[in-house]
Amino acid sequence: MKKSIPLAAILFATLLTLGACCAIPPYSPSYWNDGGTVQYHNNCYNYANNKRTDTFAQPGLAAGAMYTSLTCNSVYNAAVADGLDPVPASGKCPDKKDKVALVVWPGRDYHWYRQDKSGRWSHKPGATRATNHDNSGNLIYNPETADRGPYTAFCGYLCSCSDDDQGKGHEKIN
Amino acid sequence: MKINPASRCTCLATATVLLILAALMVSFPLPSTADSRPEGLKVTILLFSGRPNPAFFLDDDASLAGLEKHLQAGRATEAVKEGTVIPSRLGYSGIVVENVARLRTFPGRIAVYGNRIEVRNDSVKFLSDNGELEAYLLREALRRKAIDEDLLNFIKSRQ
Repeated sequence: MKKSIPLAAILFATLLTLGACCAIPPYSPSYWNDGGTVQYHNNCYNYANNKRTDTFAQPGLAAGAMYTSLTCNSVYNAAVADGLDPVPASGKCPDKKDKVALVVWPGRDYHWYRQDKSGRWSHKPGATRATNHDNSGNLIYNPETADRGPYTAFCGYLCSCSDDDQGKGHEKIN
Repeated sequence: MKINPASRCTCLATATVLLILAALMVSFPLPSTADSRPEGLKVTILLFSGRPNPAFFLDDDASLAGLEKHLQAGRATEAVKEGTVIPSRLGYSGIVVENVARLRTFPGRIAVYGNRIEVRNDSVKFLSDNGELEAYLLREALRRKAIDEDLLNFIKSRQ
């Protein structure tokens, strides 16, 4: 019995070192749409990575490599610096990672979508409520063809280590 | 009276340290309570998804009176189906006014989109106007340089 305690500690430490398992989250917007702290202080990047930070997380900030301009290249590379992995449009994310998509309102802002367990896409436009509808009120089957308002530039896809539980994603963002 | 050279040295050193500390306090004043406590209403234009939204404070008497006047002109209306007047969409989606200073004359939170106004304290009520409150807040945002003319034109095109 005495030996099992250090063994458990070693196992726990190993798991921590290796990182937790990734999972594709379900669409469950009520967690994000609390009309309070979670909703107002977590943006599209938080939602896409399924990670609550209450800081309106910015791509690259946690890695010390924040985007320097509001272009596809700059924001995409900042997310890569955070640890997200590039994947082609037709590609599938490995290791149960979740596919996320980046779009840009050129020179003004950026926006992220995430693919939910259903295969459809959802997003959280800034401080507003998370939704699985686009600007025209249609369900989002493809972020490339969805009505994205002023976010006219489609930049590409990346893989994020998300989680089954809302707000508990594993990417290091801030 | 003779002064021990060692004591004089200590006194000089102490005086020098005090002078340096005083100079530092003048150069880098500690934040006061007044600095850290907001004195008005925080107005946020819900415009961006990733970047922080443009925001400013309404904290002078004239601006607060203007807001109060427009708020009082609102007519009570039925609750909106979604529970909030703020739509979940990309681009402009309204304005939120937070009573961060807890001013007695204002509710805890006001949300405005088009001609709909949401007023929240412990309970929520909905008002309608002809868009005057929203237009007033957007004028204030422009005047305080929270948004530029291009963004204002963009917002107007989406209203």
